[in-house]
Amino acid sequence: MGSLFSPKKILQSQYTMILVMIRNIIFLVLGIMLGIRLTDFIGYLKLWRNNDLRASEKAALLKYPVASEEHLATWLRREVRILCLVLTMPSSHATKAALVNRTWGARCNKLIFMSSQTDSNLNILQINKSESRKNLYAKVRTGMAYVHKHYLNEYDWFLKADDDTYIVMENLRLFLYPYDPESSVYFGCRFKAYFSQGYMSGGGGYVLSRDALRRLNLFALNSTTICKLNGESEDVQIGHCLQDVGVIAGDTRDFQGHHRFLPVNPFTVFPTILSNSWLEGYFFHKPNKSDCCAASAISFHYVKDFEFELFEFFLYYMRVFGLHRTPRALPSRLGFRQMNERLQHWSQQVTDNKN
Amino acid sequence: MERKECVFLDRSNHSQPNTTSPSTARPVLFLLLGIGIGYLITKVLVWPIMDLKSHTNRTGASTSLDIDLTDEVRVLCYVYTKPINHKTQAQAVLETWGRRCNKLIFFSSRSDLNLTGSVELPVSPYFRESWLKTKMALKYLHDHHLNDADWFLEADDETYVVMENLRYMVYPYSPQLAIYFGSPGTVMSRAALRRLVELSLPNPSKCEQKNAGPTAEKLRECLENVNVLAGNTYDSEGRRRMYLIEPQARSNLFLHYDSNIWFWKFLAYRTQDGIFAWSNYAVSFHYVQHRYIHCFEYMIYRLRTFGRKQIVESLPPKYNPAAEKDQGAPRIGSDQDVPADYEY
Repeated sequence: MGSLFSPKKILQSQYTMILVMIRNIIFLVLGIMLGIRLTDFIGYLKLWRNNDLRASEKAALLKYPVASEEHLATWLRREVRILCLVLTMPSSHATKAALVNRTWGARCNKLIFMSSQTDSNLNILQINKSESRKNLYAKVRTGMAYVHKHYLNEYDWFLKADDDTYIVMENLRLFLYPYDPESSVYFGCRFKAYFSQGYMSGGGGYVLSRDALRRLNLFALNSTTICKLNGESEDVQIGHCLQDVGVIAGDTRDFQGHHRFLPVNPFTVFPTILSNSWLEGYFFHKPNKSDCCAASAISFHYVKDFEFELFEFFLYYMRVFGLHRTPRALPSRLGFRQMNERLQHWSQQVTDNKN
Repeated sequence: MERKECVFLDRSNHSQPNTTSPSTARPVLFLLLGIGIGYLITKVLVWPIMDLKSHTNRTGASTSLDIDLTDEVRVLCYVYTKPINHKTQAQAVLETWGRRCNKLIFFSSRSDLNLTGSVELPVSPYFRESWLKTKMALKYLHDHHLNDADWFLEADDETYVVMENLRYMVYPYSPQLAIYFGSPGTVMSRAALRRLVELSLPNPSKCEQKNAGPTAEKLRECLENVNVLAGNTYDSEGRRRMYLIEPQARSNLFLHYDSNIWFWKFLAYRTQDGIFAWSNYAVSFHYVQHRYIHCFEYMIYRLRTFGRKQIVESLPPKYNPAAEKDQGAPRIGSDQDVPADYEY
């Protein structure tokens, strides 16, 4: 009995000691891992205090810490689907329209040219109206109706531009990402007009949400009392129509007050927007005079043919050796309540430009 | 029997608390010890590797240089201008890329207080550039600023230079190597400038003494006669880094090939022009009007496209240090420092 008990006791105590040792080692390893993680997290928090990213961008980056800016842009191309409607004419098919087709138009999810004649090299919606400034409005109406009939549910945003417009599509998608395409809003370079909301400059391009396009077609273009077909400027008339059906003009300035949509060429406005120029009096929001253009600019107008090449080179090819740029994260998507607050704020804006 | 059982149970009851009480305390102690060890590991090993300070600097200023060659490759920029261009073109250079030069000098026929670094030369006020002006400028630089920089960049006020890419291009070469890049004399090393001014300009057999005539051809002759090497300004894919002519100027002046025009003589490879033939690390643009100079500054340094790929950049290796040692051994004054057929 004694001899039998002795081995059992010894085995049991050894087994217990081994178990205790294993448990202690496990806790030690867990402690080491926890220590490394905690110290790293504290350093991480210290790091973010020096970072100039806004809180929403920080939150987004914490949520997706692995995605690089390049990956986000690729993902954004499918997430924010933009149909581009480009006004052109037969004499510009081989020059301006071809340049748009080859440069920024290739980055649209869908690119449609509006012209009076067809062309095998371009995706043209043929509108049988003679080419003149008076018919621009009718042309755009026809284009909007066509897009509404065929592509309303396939795309989120609908951009209208000219063939001498240059759009930085990646910056446009980044700008539109927080907003809901089912909210009734449109964006562009906001100008003053005889109606309270103002209108978006046609040459600088404007982008309608899906609901804005729906409202325009269901309530405005089919109406006999509002949105009449007359000889006024296309962009003024479209702006008036959209105001009448409750589409709100959004604010596209960055946090420094620079306009992201420009109705001119940056080569002609540098270094600053000149006082007493024709442009200054048009802006709905007074332009920032200290500097010309936004770092995240989206559109330019009156772009010459060789300037398309310069834009492509500087935006997509040119590199400065050693110049590091902080990777940016996507801003947070606005919820229903936030979107409504934003829409209400925009609808209550009045012009501060008294020129 | 019962008594034995009681004794057994009693002993087991007594031993159990004895074994459990130390085990309940130890795991917490080991956990805390592990956390401490983890902290030390992070402090001693991980953070120095990550180098948080430079990372913080990186995120702090969006335009700070990750690899900064400003002090390692010192470039003196001298810009030819004329009085009527002081307020427009020269001012644009001063406000944009001129700030990134280690030293900036404007050579004009008149000094200007508003134009920082302007130097007056007794030349005609109607020409931005001439051979006489070039010679006087080179002598001035040699006499006053030879040791202020490693490289000397010649430009006119219709030029836009990306200084970071210029430093990247000339980084592999030592300033003691007599070499130039670009249109003759555009970027000269200190040795090249010394050799040109000390050996070539005073010597009628090596450098023509007349003050008239095209500058580029004469300068090339003067440099070649004292064995100054012509560096390669193409990148690894055969694309041009310098003398990028803005397309509007190209369409006006160089639409058709003409063997009499200097541009086609200069363009040794005679490739097609256009953005596809330009290097991604472009160095200099020419025939840039002053509004375009400001716009180039905006597009290169401010305007950002979301989604540009961030590539990991590194410096190329230094060029042929053994040859550099051989260079250093002979005196600069010797005529036979570098043979004309020297390959690098």
